Amino acid sequence: MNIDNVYILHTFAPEIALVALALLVLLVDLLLPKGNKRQVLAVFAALGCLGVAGLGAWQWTNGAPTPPAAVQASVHVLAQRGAVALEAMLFHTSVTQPTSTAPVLTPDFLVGMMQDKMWPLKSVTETDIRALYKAANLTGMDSLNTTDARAALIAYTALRRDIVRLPAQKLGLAHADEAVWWLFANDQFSAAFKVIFALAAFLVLLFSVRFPVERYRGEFISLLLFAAFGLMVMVNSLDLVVLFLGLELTALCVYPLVAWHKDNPRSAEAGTKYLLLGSLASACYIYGVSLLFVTFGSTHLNTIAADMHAANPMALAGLLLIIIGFGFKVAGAPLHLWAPDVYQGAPYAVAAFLSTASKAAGFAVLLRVLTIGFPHFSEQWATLLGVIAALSVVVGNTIAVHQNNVKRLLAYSGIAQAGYLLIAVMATGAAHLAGHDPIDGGKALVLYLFLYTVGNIGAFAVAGIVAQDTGSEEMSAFAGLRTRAPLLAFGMLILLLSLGGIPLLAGFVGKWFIFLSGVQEGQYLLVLLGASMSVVSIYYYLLLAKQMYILPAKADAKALRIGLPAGIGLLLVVLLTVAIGAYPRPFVEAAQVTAQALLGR
Amino acid sequence: MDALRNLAHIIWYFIAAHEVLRSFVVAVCSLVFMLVIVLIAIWMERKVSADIQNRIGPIRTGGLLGFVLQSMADALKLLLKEDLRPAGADKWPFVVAPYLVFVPAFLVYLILPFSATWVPQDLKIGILFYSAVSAVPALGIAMAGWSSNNKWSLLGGLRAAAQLISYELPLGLAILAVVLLYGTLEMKGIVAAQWQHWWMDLITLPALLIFLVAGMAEVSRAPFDLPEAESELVAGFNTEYSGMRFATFFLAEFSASFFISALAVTLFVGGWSLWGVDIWFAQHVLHMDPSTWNLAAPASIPFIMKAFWFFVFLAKSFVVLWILMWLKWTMPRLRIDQVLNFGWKILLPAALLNLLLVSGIGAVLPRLSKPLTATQDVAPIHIDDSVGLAPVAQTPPPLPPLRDDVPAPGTP
Amino acid sequence: MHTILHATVFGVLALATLGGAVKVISTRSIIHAAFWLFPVFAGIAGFYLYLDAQFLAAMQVLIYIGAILVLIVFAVTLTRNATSTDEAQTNGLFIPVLLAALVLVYALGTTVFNHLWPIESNVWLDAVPLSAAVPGVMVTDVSALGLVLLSQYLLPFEIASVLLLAAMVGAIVLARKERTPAATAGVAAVEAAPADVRELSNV
Repeated sequence: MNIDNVYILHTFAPEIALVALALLVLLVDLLLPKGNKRQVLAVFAALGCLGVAGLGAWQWTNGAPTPPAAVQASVHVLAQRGAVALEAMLFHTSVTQPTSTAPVLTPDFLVGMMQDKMWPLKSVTETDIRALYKAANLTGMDSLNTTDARAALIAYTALRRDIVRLPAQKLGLAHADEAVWWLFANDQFSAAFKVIFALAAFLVLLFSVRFPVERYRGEFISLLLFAAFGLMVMVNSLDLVVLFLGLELTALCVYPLVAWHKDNPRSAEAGTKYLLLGSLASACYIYGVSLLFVTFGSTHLNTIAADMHAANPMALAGLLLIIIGFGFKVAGAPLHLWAPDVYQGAPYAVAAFLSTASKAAGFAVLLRVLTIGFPHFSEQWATLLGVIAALSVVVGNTIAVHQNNVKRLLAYSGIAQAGYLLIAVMATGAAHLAGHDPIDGGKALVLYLFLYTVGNIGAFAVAGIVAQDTGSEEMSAFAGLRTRAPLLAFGMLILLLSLGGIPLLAGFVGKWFIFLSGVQEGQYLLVLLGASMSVVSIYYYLLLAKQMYILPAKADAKALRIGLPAGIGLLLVVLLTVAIGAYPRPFVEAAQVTAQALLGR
Repeated sequence: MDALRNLAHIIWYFIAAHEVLRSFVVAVCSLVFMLVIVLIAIWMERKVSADIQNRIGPIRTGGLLGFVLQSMADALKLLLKEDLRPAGADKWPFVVAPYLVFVPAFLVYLILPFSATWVPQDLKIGILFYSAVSAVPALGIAMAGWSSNNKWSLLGGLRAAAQLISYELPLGLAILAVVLLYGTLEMKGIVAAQWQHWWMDLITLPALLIFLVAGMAEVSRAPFDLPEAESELVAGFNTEYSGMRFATFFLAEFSASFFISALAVTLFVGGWSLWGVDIWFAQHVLHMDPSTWNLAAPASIPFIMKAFWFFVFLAKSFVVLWILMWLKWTMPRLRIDQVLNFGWKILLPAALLNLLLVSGIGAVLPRLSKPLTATQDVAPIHIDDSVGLAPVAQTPPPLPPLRDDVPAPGTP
Repeated sequence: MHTILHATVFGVLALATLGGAVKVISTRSIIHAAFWLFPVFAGIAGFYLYLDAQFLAAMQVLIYIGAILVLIVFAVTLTRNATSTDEAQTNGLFIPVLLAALVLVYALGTTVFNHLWPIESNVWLDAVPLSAAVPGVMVTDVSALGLVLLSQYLLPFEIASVLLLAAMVGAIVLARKERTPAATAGVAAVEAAPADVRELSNV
């Protein structure tokens, strides 16, 4: 049992804390008496989430943890093997074929070379040569005398071999830490998203204190925490199957959460719908992974990228299916149909979590999978995402205008936001073509996801508080909120304006960077569409503002009770929204560092 | 004579050389064995029940050979009966259902270690094969119950499905305790471990109790015969079956009963071994040298011992079967809610607790079964490349020396 | 001889799997659809056996036939329309969906048939030395699987156990009967729901 515990703890501190918190909540729930005292549990869990976010932030500041010595040693050895093999090959080529500019590195040639008496390195085996050949051939290099090719081959050999060729004595549990290094990214990108998910869980739990989820409060909280854990696994994993594990973990937690008020037909319908469509999306995803597996013999993103052939239709089909799976997760336009119904049926807290944290995870994973695993297909996926983005922006904004139900309005607005976010993802892909820096797109994505998560949870929370008080989810329930709860109305106004993209608020900064990244990569039409549709969005956000500020309250309306936890949460949300809008620099820099961790390699 | 022997050899080689043919022959042999066992078991059931109820039981057929001929007469009668199919029955499920029950009941005999080195099909997954295959009859029974178009049948089928699924868990956990202790799934290995350390059976005694109770429920014997409770459901899921199709269900039930007994013997009561008495007997009475015996080399063990063990195995199995019958004919039937409550609330926690206990003991005990030498000092396995499409195993090349030890390319 | 044998085995398994699958979606009786799942699952188990993955085959039979299929049949026999043979097979979207499905079949079909499969190209297998397993131990060996699960894939394994726990919590919450009648607006709808649906949660 010589696992490097420090490494594991460092790598998974937020995750371990989150699962421990969830288990603790389940246990404490058994001991607590029935009734409203369990609201204490929600507050406790929320504070725990804040701690988890702190751990995530600590990880983010520390950067990627140093792999254990064993891992470093294996990687070192393997990288050197790659370098030695490559140098030997170059040397041999220069000796045997001095006039040839581009040696034809067929396997037979290489095997013959290896068996040649002049071959200086007996230790390089045939399989090494074949692997090198494969790398050279499949990355489209016909000549091996560039430093890039050399670096790629070294990296290739290192990545391809490290885990599987470790010394035999370590077969026992000693493998776990190498596998951690191999299967999980553990970079600042995932650390940043761990913070976002933990913050989302924190806010949702704070707001859920007053929401009517009294039934099985402990289970509600623990499922929410498990879902957040699943999201963390998703963004952290480098292997498509481990990613699927996280995807399913989240989904299995969210299905019952959506159908929480199972006596309410709308909630039951939402749960069923989400279950059926979610399963379909999962099936698409895993089918895509299986196609990739038959193509590359592996589901690891690094291996896929290393073995990618520019014109492999099977891999393209797999990628398409994977994008469909994530398209569902983020509710992009042709795959958005579930979102309004599910949000409408789900409890407010769950809808808030689903439309923010779950969506953020979808985007983060999409970005990681596409940029690490499929850089060779960037043209294809950028085009596809561009189409989805345009559709989402148009469909989301135009349909949102007609909505009377606040949840549905927020759902359609979420679809439109997904469109903006997709522009950012697309920009990272198009950058490979245009020769620009893909980090711009990544930076915009991270920043926008952060502020969107915070802002949208706030908007859902206000809607939930109002709906709980008035018993109506219609827009008219907001009528005269200014007189009934002036602070709440003001907070909601700020959040709506931020979502709409009014300057000096967070949403504007986010949209600015998204559109900027789009413009830099030459996506003028898409940016124009997004910007003009963003104006449309201000219209329907202002419709809600009109209800709050201009229309009078109903005669029998009383003052609204918010509750301390929700009040604190709302205050935090509004403060963050204003802070990002007023002084965006630290946030932008953080986003830059985060995106750099993923895309700057 | 030599010519005959040569011919026999040629035929045997032909059979042995063709895996498919060999499997076929083995399957047929197992089927015949199972049929004979069932004939005896049915007779035994009638005699035991008669004994318990102060009757004599069947005496008319066969005289001294009654233990075979009586059941044969029964079978003949069933064969000659008209095979009815209710007009409202759902034809294909009705026809297929008996086979879905019967085929698994017979298939499981393939993995039974009848004696040292006598295993019809020595599967690597061993006991797992039983767990998998024994799950299928539940479907057949549900199918039979539904397709009969009879409410008694339907209720019987549903009860069977609920009961079988519920009791599969404690059964599997009891088996898991044994697998955990002996560190192997192979039936041969499990018995061999008990042969060498007969006292290990004491550790698995609680598991044996759990296994027997769950096993009785799995084969739907009283007090768990809810699916065919005659006082409530006529005959449960096989109410509408007659003639040969009914005989198929009947056969499957008795075959499963014997198999549960045989499995209990194999996993918990030492299988074909006799707790050291067999070795003492061989050493001191037959003047053999057991130290030369090697289970991995079948030829090293004299035939007479193998035959002896075979009979030990059969005797033990019949004793357990007798216990099951004894319980069946002396216990009142449970209610369905009692059955399910007992399964989920008592037996399952007990099985989990037992598993915990056994894993604790297993952690303290030295590794008894054959260590996994083949996997312990070689390079790690990479399962990434599909479990199914495994290419030919090959030795990984040794790691080359580090760069410092290797002459730089280009130096002479 | 061997080729014929292999082709026959494969053909039978493929026929059982695909034929069963087609019957599952084309049969008009919902319970027959459930029954037809049996050849599908059994065929897949057969494929695993055929590929010498005994453990996977056993798990397939144990989980899919022994647990999932039996539960499906169980649930279907409790629904109201179990005996009806006139379930609608199509709806208004039949033609467009059929076209979309055909396009998908064409795309996947051409992809699959044009793919350089590892069996045909030895380079693929040789160039992936990772699959080179341990000498003397087949990759299908259960102990090898266990070792890998508890060493290299220990963390995903643990994540899977968290997944099961979460799924269990969720299922219990959804299936558990209310002790007190809910005061929400949906009580009437629950009363109207088919009685058998409610009973299912008691089982």
